[in-house]
Amino acid sequence: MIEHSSAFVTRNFTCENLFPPNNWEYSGYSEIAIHDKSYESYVWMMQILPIADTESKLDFIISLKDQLSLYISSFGDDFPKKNIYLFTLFDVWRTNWFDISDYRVDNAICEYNDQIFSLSERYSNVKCFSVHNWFSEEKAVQFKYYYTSLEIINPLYYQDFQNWFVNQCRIMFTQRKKCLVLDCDNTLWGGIVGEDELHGIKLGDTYPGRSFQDFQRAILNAKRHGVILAIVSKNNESDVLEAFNKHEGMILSLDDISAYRINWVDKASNINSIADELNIGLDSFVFVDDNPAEREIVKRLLPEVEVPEFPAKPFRLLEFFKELYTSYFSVYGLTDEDKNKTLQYKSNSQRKSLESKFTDVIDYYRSLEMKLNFSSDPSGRLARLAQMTQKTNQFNLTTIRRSEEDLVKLSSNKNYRIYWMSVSDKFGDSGITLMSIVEVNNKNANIDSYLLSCRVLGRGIENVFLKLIINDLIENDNVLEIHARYEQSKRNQQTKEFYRSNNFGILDSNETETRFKLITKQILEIEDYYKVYFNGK
Amino acid sequence: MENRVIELLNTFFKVDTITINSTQSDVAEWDSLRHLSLIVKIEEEFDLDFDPIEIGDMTSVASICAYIKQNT
Repeated sequence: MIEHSSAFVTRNFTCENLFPPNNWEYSGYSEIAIHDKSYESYVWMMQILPIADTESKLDFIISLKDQLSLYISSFGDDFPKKNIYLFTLFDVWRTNWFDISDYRVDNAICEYNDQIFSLSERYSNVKCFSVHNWFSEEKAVQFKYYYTSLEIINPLYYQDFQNWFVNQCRIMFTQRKKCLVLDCDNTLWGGIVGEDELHGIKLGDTYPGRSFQDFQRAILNAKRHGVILAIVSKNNESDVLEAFNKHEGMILSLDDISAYRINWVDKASNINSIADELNIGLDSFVFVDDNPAEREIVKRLLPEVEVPEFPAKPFRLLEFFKELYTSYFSVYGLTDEDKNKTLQYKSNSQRKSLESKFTDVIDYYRSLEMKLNFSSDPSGRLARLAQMTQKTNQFNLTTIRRSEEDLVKLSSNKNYRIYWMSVSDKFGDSGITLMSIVEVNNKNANIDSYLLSCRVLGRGIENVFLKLIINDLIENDNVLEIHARYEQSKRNQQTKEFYRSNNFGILDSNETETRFKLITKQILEIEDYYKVYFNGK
Repeated sequence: MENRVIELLNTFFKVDTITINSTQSDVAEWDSLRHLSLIVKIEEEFDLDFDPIEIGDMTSVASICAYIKQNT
């Protein structure tokens, strides 16, 4: 980062006060050519003298263009190796009041700034600081201070300038976030689509509908600037899709959304599953929701995700968006890759209707020719099984670690079953990748541990293993009731709903633990695309 | 008032060595670059508006105090 590197500043006025404390060095006031090429970074910052003389101002700006060319050429062969930062020019004290139609100074400044922009476009080692965007009338010259020290920028704004500069550096040098996750009701539109119905929601020409529409326009522009959009909404999917497809006030369309989860599942799990689907880390997500309870849950369960406060009044939405965007998404120079991102991510993710997805997945599973070997005999495999309890973090319901000796003891205890399963398919053999420990007591069973390696995740195998265990408990131990437990760890969030999705009921739950119960009925059927072997047979 | 000025300078330069007898040449942190920012602080603190000549002249605690008195 430039702030911490050794830098040499070429300037025509005092500007030491404008930059955060650092070890930079400064040129003499009219020293243009670079002689010492030992610095990592070079900064060019020129300022216009505040004088009420249009012609000499013009002459000065035109001469600056030549000075900049001389400056660049003075690097010689070292030019491509140096980081060069060019500040744009702005008129600190405008003199267009002599002739209010006289645009020549503004024009000359534009041409000079164009030269800077085109240099930064042409050479990857050249970057520009658009300081004319920072500048405003009230930051203009204060003659009292100007005549004291001949500094151009009002000293009352030194700190403001430093903050601006540091922020620009942050944007230039740090990774932006990738995905903006949006709620729908009272976020993308006013009102609740499930209650107010399609035409009851506020989205249109008059306030507050207009502010939501403008908010959507800003979001769409973010997408054009490479931000991936996702929707997470607690709603009936059909209601939200209807709003997207049919409401004439909608600016965003479903095509703009790379992934969505519209259901009643908690938002943290939904964001997690979107992260999986799009294959981006949670630390690249920003979550926007008007509901403080939803924000709190996501903040707590997914601390990596940024969760900004949401404005109480819709008329603040654009200001909110600007703040959000500059904090997380602003970028210096968009690459073509950025611009195509949404497209890329969309092709990665399966966005087909549930039905066609279902047949596709089954065909896919079938094509894998999966072979599962289920066993309740751990002998000879205790070392591997103990290792799995030590190493598995993500798909691990209770995260109880066990040593080989622990397992030796358990395996000789009549009340414990240690199950394992190995998986192979036409692409190769994954070996023993699932294991579970179950305590059995008089027709009651309690699943103490249940875990699997993430290599086999995503093919339904985690459910098959559970079914096979249930079947074994019914057949061999006459078990009537099975208890199970999810205990939250830093990394097992994705397993929170596992038992519920396998028809267990919730007994009770608190912040970190949920306990489940299943009354066993008949033997569970295993889908025919899994070929199951028992103890290798 | 002298004490307020001394305290302000100590805070501004992050030192504790400034006395009523200090001058710009005694205080290493008090260079010409920071002089203007110091004056901005003093103007803020005492709600005053100095002239460039006065600002250029305020190179000691004593002269700062004198100009503050003169302007109030």
